[in-house]
Amino acid sequence: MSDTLVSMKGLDFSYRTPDGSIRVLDQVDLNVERGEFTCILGRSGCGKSTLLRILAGFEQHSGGSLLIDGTPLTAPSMERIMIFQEFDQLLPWKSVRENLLFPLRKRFPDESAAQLHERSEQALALTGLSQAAGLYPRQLSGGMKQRAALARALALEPKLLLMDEPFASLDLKTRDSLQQLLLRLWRESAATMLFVTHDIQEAILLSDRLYIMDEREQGRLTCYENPLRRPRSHSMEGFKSFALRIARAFD
Amino acid sequence: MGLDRRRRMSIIITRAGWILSTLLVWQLIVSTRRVSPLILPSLQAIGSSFWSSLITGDLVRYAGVSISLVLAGGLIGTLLAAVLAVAAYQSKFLAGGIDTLTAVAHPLPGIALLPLVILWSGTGITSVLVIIVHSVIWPMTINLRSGFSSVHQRYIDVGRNYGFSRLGIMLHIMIPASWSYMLAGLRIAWARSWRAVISAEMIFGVMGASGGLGWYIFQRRVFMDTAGMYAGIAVLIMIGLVIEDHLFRLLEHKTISRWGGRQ
Amino acid sequence: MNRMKDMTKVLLLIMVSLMLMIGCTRDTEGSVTIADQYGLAYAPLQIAKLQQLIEKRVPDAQVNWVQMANTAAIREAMVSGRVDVGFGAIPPFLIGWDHGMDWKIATGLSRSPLGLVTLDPELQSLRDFSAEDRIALPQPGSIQHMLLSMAAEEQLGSADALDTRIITLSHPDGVSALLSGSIQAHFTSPPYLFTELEQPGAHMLVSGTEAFGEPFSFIVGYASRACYDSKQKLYRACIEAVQEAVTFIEEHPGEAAQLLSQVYEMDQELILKYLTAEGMVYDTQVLGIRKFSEFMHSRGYIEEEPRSLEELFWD
Repeated sequence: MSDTLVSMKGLDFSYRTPDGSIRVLDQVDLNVERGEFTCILGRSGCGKSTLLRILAGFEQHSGGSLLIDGTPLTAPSMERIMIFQEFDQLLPWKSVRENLLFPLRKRFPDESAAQLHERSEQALALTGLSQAAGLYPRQLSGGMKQRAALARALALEPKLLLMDEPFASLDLKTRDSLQQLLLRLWRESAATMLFVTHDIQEAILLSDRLYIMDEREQGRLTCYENPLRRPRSHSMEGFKSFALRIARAFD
Repeated sequence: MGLDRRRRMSIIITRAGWILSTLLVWQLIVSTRRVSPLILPSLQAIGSSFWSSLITGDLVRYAGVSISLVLAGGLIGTLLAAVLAVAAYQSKFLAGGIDTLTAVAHPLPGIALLPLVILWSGTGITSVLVIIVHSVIWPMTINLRSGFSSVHQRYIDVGRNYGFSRLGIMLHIMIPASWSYMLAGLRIAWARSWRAVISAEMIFGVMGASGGLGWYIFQRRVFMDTAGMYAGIAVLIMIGLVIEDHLFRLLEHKTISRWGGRQ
Repeated sequence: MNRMKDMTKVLLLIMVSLMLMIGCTRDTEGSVTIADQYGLAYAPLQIAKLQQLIEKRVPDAQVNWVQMANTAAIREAMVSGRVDVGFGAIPPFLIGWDHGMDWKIATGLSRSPLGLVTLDPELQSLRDFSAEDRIALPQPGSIQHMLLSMAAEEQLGSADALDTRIITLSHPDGVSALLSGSIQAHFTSPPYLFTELEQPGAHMLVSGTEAFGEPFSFIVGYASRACYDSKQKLYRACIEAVQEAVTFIEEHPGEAAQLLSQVYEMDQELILKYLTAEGMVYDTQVLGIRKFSEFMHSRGYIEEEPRSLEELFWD
């Protein structure tokens, strides 16, 4: 039985420039199933970030239909939280804890300060940041900043987490550990993940379902089911052959 | 932290060293008796004038009047500047008008407007406030606007993601994110408004209870109390040093240094 | 320690240059610097300047004329030796004298109508001022302030009864403030006094003569000891020049008005009218100094009272 969270059909999007408009997305279809981990694989500049921004409600699409839970998407909402690639997405004038509490107060307006505090401490503990709660973003490493962004997003209990290459600027070792952390958090929460990356290995390691975005055809998406069992590793049986298949399709 | 404290100590030591040496030279010149005490009164005379005005509460009251005028005018000016900057940020049409207004009004010294201000708003506190607001509003508007335009789109996206309205984004994202520009604007605004209030008080002083430091100095001048005049100027210097060296540095230390440079 | 040495050097340098700057009188025996202010009461000085009455007496003299905004500025310039002879009212002179300035009165210059003008029909006497009303005058300690205090003492019982209503404005700012209604009364002198009195509804609450009770000199000339002692020839020439100019105006007001109309950029007829207005008298006699010093001493504006007129006059 399928339970579709995001249903996108024939979506169009153009950027307006002084010399006219440039069509970035043309007739794009995408389904994201509730609770699943979906990856979109594409080269930089193919329009995958734009797709996420439309899903977040930051940009307005010009044509096609886009339903979230059966209702048309109109505005940004804390149901869909975006995590960016860049490290500076935490508000630099707030401590890590305040960065979490600030949206939490808006998300759960009826809860007491103690309850909200509990939520933020829990999220920080899950991401291994309890010790860093009082620090300011500039005092954190890149990996810690992305952990804090993850903690902040998950604490809000969104239906859908939109991730725009969140680990692309990290070194390999940090990226590995954050990938494992993300999978664990996904298993423990009810969140649906939509994860954009240009890294084939990362997409295979994380996804249930994998879309390749083709920039030559204005963002047309081709769907691949990920056949690999979890837990996964780069050395497991079938990883290489699936990666090869995707790589061939990617080129 | 340790570094900052050491830096502040070194500022204090450097300042104290220069000021003490200057006073020493001063006293040496006075002791040669070649210069009339009406030009250079002895430090004792200045000190005792300072002390007697201090214990009668005069100096504190006069300084208090000037400072509270600057604070009140600064607050009004900053709020008005925020309104202008927000309006310019929201509307291209208004931005053009506000640009022009700023370009015209910013270079005008407040004192040059005094004759006009007297015509429009009389000779009371209102006129001094108008001049202070004028000194504050334009540098603040300019700095707030460059602050707003320097705010990274990502922070605005984060605010939108939390479902904030335009006003909410303004209050919770734009204003704190452009704080370093605001602080720079406040510094300029302080310097300009403090000068403006002292000069305005010297040009149209009010003899009643509402005179400020400028008036205090002017009054000493017309009654040829040179020592008292220097005492008033010394208070001006002290207030300037405390605010520049300590208040603004402290504010910067508590905010920008902690958050890490300009955002 | 190197820094300490540098600092000492810098400070020594500053000290030496300050001493040089303040200690020496800049001008030489052959030159004299005279400071006056703006207003018709100074008219003889303009005549002396235009007709070169000082140069006529000391042909190789270099005469510098400077116009200053108020007597406080003239006083400061004379303390620092930049000005030899200054012109202004008696009260600021007494304040300087009281503070130990080495200067004395050299000559009288003019008597003039002065007065407290209002446009408000409700205001008929000093008693009618409410707490919110504002009275403008050039500065505390000025002749206008002293005359107002004298009037207040006589009519209201206390010299400082109106002090909390006083604001200080230069004469031209005072005129525009009065006309715009932001002040209720203005204590001023010609030509501002005449301009204001020509306004509909303008009336004088108290005149200078009423306040003082007898004729008094409005403007007098003061000279520093340095000038009197070491520039006797020029000092004499100045006094004689003033005398000649005063006589010229009194005897040939029409010609004087013609000369002055260029200086003041005013209509010749108008100047003539003002020059010959009632109460406008050019005279080298100094009147009223006794009464001014008694009043200022008793009200604490000066600490010492001159024992004899010799302390106040050079000759």
